[in-house]
Amino acid sequence: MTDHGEQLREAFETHEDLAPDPAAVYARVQELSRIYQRRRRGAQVAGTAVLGAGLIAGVIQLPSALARLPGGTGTAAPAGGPASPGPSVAASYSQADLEKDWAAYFAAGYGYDDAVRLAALWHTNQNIGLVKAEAGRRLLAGETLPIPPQRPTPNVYSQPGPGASADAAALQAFFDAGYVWDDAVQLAALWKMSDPSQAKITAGQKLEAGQKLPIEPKPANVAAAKEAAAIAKFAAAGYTYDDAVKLAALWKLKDAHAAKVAGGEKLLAGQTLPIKP
Amino acid sequence: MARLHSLLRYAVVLTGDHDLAQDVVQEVLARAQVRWRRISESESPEAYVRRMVLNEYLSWRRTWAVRHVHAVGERLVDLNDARGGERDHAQGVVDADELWHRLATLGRKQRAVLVLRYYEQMADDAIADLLGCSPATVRSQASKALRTLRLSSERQERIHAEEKS
Repeated sequence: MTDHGEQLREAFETHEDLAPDPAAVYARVQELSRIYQRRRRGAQVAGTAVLGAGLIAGVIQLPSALARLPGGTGTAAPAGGPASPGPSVAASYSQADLEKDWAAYFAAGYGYDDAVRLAALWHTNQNIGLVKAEAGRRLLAGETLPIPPQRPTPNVYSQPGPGASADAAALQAFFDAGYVWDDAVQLAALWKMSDPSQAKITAGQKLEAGQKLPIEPKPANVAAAKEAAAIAKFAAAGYTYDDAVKLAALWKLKDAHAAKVAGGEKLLAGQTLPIKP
Repeated sequence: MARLHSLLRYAVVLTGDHDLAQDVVQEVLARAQVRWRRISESESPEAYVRRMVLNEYLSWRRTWAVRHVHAVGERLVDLNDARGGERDHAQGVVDADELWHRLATLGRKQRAVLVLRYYEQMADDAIADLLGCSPATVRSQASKALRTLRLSSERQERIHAEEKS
């Protein structure tokens, strides 16, 4: 490469980490796609919606993506403090804390635009990811945020509806089993398929047929998928964050998130919960 | 995960603007979701989505470049011009951060050409195909962009000649 080419490459590569917060992108994509889907009248909408969600889940791998903030290196990098009195969102979050707080934030139905509004209310110019984490931390602490969620954030792990296509169901089976995009890439190579997306569908169909795949999903991804499925079940049954708080107290769990997971697992096992939604 | 990060990094490098990168990627992914079935049938869905990002950037409706980015970039360039004597032109080294801001003064197509050529490491023919123009236009755009950035060999040669005299 030429000298100026090296300089340009260096300029690009030293600034590429200014990339936006993946969680923010994710939340907004979900909102936008719903708007577009409403505009787009077609018989395939139901299937496409879930398929699209599969795409985003596969591409983004949200829990892992959340671990990297713009300019960060795996955990939230403390930045300058708020411009005026407001919550300190530059606390020394661990990655686990961040993921837990973000999960609470999204589970409560908040999204990216809400975080932007919160940042304005709290007079902070912090990274929006950190604003969401602070909001999630407050929710877990039982506090109420100064604004209600604008609209519920759809859960990409929810079960496909009756109108969903077979492909969408296969994709869901693939993700529910804890497989992710990287696995699809490996499977595509093993099966000599050019498109990992197609490998995901094929893999999902095999899983639905009770067959084993030639590679195992990573245990952490399996755990994340199970947890997400439980939370989705909890929400699908009509339970809310307030219900989770009550259940956490009843079951002596550490927070509402743990109650959602525990409640969702019980519901998936066909059990009932001690309170009604 | 790697693919979204890669897409976001690409968008940031392409737009030079965190917020615009976010808007562009969001817009593209939302549209990609709706017509994913067709995209998934393409030879490389990832390349297809990256092309969507490029097109979205090139046709973005906002006047962000005039309102924001150019203003910042021009100010920095002016600053550098003002202190021109202090810079060590002989070494031809341009600080990456300074260069990043100078890139903000480029037009979208010129910037895209540089990003595709030096960040994506694409050949001019492939860039031409992507942008829907001729390879000669790509070279012309790149040449103009490098001159604007004061990275052209012509200028370096001239500076070198001036210093020797």
